[in-house]
Amino acid sequence: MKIILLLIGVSLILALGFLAAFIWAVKNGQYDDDHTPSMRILFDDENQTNSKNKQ
Amino acid sequence: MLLKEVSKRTGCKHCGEPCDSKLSEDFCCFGCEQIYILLQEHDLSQYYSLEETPGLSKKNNAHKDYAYLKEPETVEKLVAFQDKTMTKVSFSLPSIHCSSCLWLLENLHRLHSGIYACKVNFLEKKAIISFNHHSITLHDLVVLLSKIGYEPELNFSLLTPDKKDSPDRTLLLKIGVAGFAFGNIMLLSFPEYLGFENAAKLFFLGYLNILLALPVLFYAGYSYLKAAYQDLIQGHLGIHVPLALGMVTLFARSVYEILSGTGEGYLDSFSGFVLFLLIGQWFQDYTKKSIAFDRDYKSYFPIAVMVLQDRKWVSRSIDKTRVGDTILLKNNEIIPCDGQLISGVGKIDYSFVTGEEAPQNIKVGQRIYAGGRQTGTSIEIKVEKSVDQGYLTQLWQESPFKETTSSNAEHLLNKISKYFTIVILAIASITFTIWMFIDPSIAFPSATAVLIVACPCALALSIPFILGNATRILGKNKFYAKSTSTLENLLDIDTIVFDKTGTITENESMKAIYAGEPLNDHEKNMVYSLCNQSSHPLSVSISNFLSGVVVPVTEYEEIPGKGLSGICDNNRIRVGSTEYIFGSDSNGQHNVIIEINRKVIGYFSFQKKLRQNMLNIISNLSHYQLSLLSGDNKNEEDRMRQLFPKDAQLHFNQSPKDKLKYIQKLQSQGGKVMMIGDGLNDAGALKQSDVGLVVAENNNTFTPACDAIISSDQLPRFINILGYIKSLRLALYGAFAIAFIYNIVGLCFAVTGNLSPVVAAILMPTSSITIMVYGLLSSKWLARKLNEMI
Repeated sequence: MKIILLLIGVSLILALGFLAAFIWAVKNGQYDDDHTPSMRILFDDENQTNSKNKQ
Repeated sequence: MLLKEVSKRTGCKHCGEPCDSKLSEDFCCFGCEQIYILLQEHDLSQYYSLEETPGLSKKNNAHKDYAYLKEPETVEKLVAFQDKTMTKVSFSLPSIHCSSCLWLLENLHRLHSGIYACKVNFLEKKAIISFNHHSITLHDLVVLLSKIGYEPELNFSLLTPDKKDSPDRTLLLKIGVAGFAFGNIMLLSFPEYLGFENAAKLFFLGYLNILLALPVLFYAGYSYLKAAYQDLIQGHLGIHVPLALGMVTLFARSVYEILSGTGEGYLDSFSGFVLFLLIGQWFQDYTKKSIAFDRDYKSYFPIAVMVLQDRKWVSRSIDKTRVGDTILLKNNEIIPCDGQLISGVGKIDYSFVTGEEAPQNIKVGQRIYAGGRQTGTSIEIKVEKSVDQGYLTQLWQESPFKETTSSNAEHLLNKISKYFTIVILAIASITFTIWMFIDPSIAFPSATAVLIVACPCALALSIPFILGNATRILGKNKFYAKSTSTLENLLDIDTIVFDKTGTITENESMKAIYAGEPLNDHEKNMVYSLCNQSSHPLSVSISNFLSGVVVPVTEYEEIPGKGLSGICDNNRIRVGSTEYIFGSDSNGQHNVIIEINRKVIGYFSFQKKLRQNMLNIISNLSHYQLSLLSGDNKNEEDRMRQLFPKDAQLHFNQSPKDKLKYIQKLQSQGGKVMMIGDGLNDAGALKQSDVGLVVAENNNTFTPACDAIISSDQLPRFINILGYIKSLRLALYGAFAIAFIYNIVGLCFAVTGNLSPVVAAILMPTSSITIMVYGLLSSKWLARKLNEMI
């Protein structure tokens, strides 16, 4: 049953990794505007791929 | 492609406004047509498919002169970043209102090859544009933005930047840490939930929990501890005190239990507690974000002005003007500082400062005050007081503005939390004492259990979730409240003071009233044709009133701000002010006289139109003590008397200072005053009142120091809004009731010594979540009242 210690340890390290990623993302400014990306995501890509093809 | 029903388009393709079929079937004006064509040329027609008629009408756009943007000094001040080829600039674009706007702006690079990219922040209505300054200048960029209908708002406050750092970042970080700790502690606490207490001790889970909980106490929860400490120093039992008390007790007892091996602790409830509090705080900030509010008087002034330097006119930024400089102001420009008129004819519209609607005639040598607007030909002014010391800013520096409003925020909450803390401490001590006699071993645990479970977090969460959500809903209905405390203050008011100009009367359309010999058709047509030539608002008003048939006019002459003359059908027609027709002073009368062949036929006087339903609105408010303050003279008194109930007090000729003093007088008599005005000339009064409400014609109007803005088209629904806010009070009591029930249940467990960690872990998060959901649902459900007809 001592394996649980290892499991706990690993899961905590993994969780810490995610926390670190979150902290980095916040400090990088990715959460400064959380409303506009929700609108941006609904735009069609059609025109942009067209213009890319034109180039 | 989705099949769309072919809808009958009855308006402009660009902005949806009705089309004058004489010009074009598809567009209401040339401006809209221009944009449409421009977008088509650049393959940007998707703009129109994202939203119906996404444009804003270009009809009433005055042409703005951006010449000062060519000055390198001004450019430097506006630019955020610049290197050899690229410049990055951040603009406020108040016209952003839908996803089409977002789409178009982020595709700005397709309109001009010199633009690299544009990133929009929708809620703040800002855009960051990076461009190659060798390929397109800042000036041209602004002109382009203006052309497509997204004119940037360039104002004085940009020149004196106070950088606002992002404070929400720390809140997000705290939530991250608290959430991380909460999840993991709960996970590690599973064995004890399932009954395997030994497992916990065997695998040192307790110590791990303490480790995880440490950052929650000292980082995530720190602000509550600090606030409680400050509250206690001041001897004031605010909401933070019971919160901090609960937190500290939870943590301390848990650490003690774990370290001494007597129990598993309550660290899961502890971290959950902190987490939910932080989420509540985040939600409150979230509701505030969509309402851009903090602009001060400086954002009203223009950014640059023409100054005479070495016999040449140079565009200089406003904060550089010094006493003794000569500045040039053109028609429609705002006077930035006090000075003396040295050349030109001054016809100054002081409506923003004194509320007086008609322009004042200023002669050379007379004083001109900051805040007025020149209507007429260009004038030159010698600066006497630099911008900071103008009359207008003096008004702003009156005491109400200097004091930062002590937050009435949560005053209801503070009232309750005071009793709450005392009651809980009392219950805890009683529990302790009683158990000491019966079974001393349970005494301490149950006393601390009382402190732990008595959750004031329900109280702390009800305000953000009920009032905060209500603020957001009201915002969608075009009533923007500055904060939740505004809503609370609205509940208490008993006196309402109205401003006249712009509030009761509309800002724009004027009604012309004719007095004199009746005009026959021929005369009517002649006067109509003459007035049709001019774009002066009074002429427009007269032509709208007469609506005759156009007759050819020869020898047309217009003296701006004075009068018109011309020859129709061999009759010399003159239309103008008393001064124009007679050459003498008008004694404050602002009538337009009609003279045909040297004979005065009659005159027009003008009445500002009342806002729609004003009578209805005021009669609905008759249970409040009503007053009217106007900067105008008494000629409107009869009309106003008809609107208001008999006991209402009407005062005229009020200066901004008089208005402020009146409000102070009412307050000293114990009244809770709400002032409804239109912005700048009653600004002092608005700030002094308990709730200052501004009626805005368009949402781009800046509104310094008021507590709420209502869009003018929503004014008839004001009574519904008040009703909604009143119902929120009931919702709040409901939330307190739920909190009360939870507390009673929890206390039952605590007092009897049965508060195990499992019970606590279930009760506390559940109570928080219940309050949050209840708050959101109740404020949403009550909002259906907003659409009821009264």
